[in-house]
Amino acid sequence: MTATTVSPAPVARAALTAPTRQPPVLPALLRSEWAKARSVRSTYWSLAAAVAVMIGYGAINSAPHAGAGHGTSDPILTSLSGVLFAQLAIGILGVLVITTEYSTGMIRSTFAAAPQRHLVIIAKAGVLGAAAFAVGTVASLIAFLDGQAIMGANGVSLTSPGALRSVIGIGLYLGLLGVFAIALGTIIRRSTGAIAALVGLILILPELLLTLPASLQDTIVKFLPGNAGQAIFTTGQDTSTLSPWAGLAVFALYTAAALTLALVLLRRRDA
Amino acid sequence: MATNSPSIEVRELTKAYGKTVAVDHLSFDVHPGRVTGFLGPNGAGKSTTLRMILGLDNPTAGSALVNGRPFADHRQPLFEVGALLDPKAFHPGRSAGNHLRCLALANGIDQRRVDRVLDMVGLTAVAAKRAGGFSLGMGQRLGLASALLGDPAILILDEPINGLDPEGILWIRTLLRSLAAEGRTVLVSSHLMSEMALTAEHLVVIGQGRLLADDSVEAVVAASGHNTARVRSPQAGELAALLAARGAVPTVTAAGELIVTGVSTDSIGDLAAANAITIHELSLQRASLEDAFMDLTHDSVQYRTGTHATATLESAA
Repeated sequence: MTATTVSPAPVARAALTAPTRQPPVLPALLRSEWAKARSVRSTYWSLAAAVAVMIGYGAINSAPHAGAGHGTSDPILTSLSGVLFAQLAIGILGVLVITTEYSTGMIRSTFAAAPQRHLVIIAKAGVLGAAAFAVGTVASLIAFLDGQAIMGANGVSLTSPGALRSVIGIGLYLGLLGVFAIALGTIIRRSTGAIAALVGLILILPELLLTLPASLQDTIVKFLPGNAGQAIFTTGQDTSTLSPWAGLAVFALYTAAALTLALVLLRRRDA
Repeated sequence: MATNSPSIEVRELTKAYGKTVAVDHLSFDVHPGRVTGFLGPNGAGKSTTLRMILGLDNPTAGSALVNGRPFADHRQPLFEVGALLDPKAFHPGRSAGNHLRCLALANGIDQRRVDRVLDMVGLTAVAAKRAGGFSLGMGQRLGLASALLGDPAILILDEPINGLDPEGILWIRTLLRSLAAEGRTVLVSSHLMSEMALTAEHLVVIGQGRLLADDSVEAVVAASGHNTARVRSPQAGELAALLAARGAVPTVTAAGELIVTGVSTDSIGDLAAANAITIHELSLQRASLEDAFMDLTHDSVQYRTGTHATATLESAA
């Protein structure tokens, strides 16, 4: 590399006088985080993976239910079953959005440009939450329409009870999950630990608790973060799940609590 | 703006990790218009201090003000303070240009400025390349580009010459001096005294988190106990006795030659004249900057080697 002769610009007037214009910080940080998300490949890979499994797994599960006599009791969830894997892609993306900043040292560049650390995390959560909601809703709509088409006469339409709520609910669930994952990543700061915690909470813990007596399961398992959130796309209520909107509200509370803890720790800890 | 008022004020700044005190009641000011070298052996607390100035680490006690305010109170800090703390403070999968664009957006900095700073640090040709493939020196240049993004009046750079080739070192030295000449505040940390001698005009020296010196480069050298005078005289023995009586420490090295510490060359000359002693040579043996540095930090080196390595790298005085 050749050394460049440098003649820097004279000190900007704005730099020498106390800044008079003070535009709001959050919109600038939202633009910055949006640009960050768009300028690394992992964002595209994770979202593409979420869309692919959402549509692909739904189609695979719908295929056996085509034709007379092979109908399923829950054609809506059958076509949307890919969410079980799509949530992993979104969750891991959410964790990595913040933990890679810590592992690479980027976080210090970020905070040196934006000392309002909590707003940085809120901007990250806003960007990923919105992206996951949009991508999740579109993917689940395609998965639904595709799955119902595959099931043919055994399928249902978007106007049937619970169908539209489930389709949009998956977008809402994935959006909240992205925010939840960012909070978890901010609290734990290490990729491996945060991903393990996320998978443990959403996938493994509910399975482990299945060993509990049925009465306990009904009172505990449905209140776990993942189980509560997934109620929004569950049709056919029984005592083992919360009602759709109550479940989503519980998951939103978990997310708010995790985000609050993350912001408190963020203020206290060294970057 | 009064160029005499300090742009960085560090007051009783303290950082303790459990029982280990990394920075210990450190106070100093950094003024605009000159390069201030922030010097200390490895582990002296330089990086911790800089991180506290930038609001990245919370002090255990004390405070640091930048332009009269804590760093955390700045809403668009890149316009006021540019920092290079870590040559790898970027996402390896993001291109150099995009890295700078993201930071610029956070402070509402015009995107054309990104191309300008890329040009300034000589990274235009690799702007679209993933920064993960950069060498340490290129990483330093990218870090410097991000520090210059907002055209700030204050620059805080932690070991910016690490990983640079000789050409790069010369380049950054010239850059820092010209930035200071424009009236900016430039605070540069280093553990290399010889490098600071060529770049800085003022030194803040710390060891084990404590302030050891806060003075001009010349004064730090002059204050070093290594300053000695060499005297050649046919009456060396007589002069040695007179000097010893005055509390100086003369050592006879060869026939007719004295090495004297603890007294100025002026006093030696006066003393010789008053006693009619012939002097053939009287010269001040300037301590090298490395000597001055070793002298200052001798008691505060955290990672001392078993055998005392007298590394007189180069006499830059």
